[in-house]
Amino acid sequence: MKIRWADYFGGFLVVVFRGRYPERIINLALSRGIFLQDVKKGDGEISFRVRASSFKALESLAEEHNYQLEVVDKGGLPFYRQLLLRRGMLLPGALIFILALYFLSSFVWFLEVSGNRQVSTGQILKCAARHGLYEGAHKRNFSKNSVEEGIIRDLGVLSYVGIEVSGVKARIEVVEKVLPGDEVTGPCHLVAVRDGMVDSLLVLEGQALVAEGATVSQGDILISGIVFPLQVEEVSGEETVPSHPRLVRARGHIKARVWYEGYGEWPLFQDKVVLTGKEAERIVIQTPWKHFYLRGKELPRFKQAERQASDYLWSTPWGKIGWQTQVIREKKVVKTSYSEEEALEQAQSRALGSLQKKMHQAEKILDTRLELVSSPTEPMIRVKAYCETLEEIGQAQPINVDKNAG
Amino acid sequence: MEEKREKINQAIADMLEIPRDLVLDIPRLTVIGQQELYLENHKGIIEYDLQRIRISLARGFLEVEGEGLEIKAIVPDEMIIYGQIRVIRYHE
Repeated sequence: MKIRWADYFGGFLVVVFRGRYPERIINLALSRGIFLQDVKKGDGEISFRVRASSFKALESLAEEHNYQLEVVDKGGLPFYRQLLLRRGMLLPGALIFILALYFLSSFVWFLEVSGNRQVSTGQILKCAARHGLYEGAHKRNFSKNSVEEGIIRDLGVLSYVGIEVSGVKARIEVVEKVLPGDEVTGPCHLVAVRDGMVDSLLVLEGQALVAEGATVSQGDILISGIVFPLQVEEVSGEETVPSHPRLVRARGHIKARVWYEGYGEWPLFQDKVVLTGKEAERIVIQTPWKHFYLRGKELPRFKQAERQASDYLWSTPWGKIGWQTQVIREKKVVKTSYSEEEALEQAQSRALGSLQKKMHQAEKILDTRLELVSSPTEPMIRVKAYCETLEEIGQAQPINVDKNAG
Repeated sequence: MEEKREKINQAIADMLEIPRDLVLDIPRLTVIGQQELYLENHKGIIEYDLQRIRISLARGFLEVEGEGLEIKAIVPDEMIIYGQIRVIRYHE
């Protein structure tokens, strides 16, 4: 008796019969081969659900036996069909929507890169695009394996690339190579990283080649990793065993006074470019076929101007689609003059800035000094800044030993 | 005469091991708990009420009593009754 689906496709009606002895109508309907469902008895009436096709027969029954017939509800596909016929574009619209959804879901619209630290996301995306994976790429136009291999080949610093495409989103997961650190483990010297005057010296291992107060230049060996054995005078007359120099990893702390110099200048007269406040905006909707100007089709022509554009464009197989906002602002040159105090202040801050850039991690700043170096006739204030610091200058430098030698 | 034919039919059904309800046109009832009654080989409705349904059979009638009785589906040979069934009674 499972005829619900058939009912749905054929359409069904819920009818009410009113009259004397309404049970009779059930038997009459059955005798005519009409299937009844959900038969409910009310006060002097009976209601049931029948297939839409049996309505004519029920109507004639009602007429013949003097019953009042009323349709209270209807449902099923034929009634929807009528609705669809009335709204002609409903079904094609739904169909187009599904097709469009299916079609658009076969492209990659979003790209996500994870796991990168040294390599920039842009670099990886560019590389992936070269191998066919970009925003707007059809999923069939690239193979995951070849893109993965291509990225690994192009970016040597990556050790693993995994691409996972889920829906319209592609995730590129990368793992960067971990290169061994530059820690020196073998025999080495300690050399000066910059010029200075040795202030204090503490040798932990190796042989000191400089003394406190010595002036050293960059690259000078401070503590040697080649240790020569002490020559002991043999009194007993026994034959001395020739001893060879020993190679060690030189260790120690060498603090030196280091001098830095910075320079800064500031003109007394300066041309400065400022915005006048006049500006115009243009909004363009860009399609591969045509550009639509929503605002500012013609931009004014300024003598000097600054342009700024921001766009939201998506790459599609047909070209770029999106909108672009352009802003043009008028500029002009204004001559400004500074007093000597102002210029000096600026030059000093610049000199200190350049000094700070040159300085390394100083342990202690011993002295700072500023000096005016420009002549009074110059239209420019020039300042030099000096700084004396105390810092560690030793740096390990491996000793290249030829194993075949000696 | 009618009785005689029935006896012959019954003998044939016994001999051929055919279910009796097929040969003898007697009702087959399947009752699921108190809520559902499935009835085959009926001959129409005599009386229908929310408290009582009387169903015509080949011989006599069947009376179903209960509360909120509803004929869920009905076709010429079969019917399903839903509701709180209390009594099922045969009348010769």
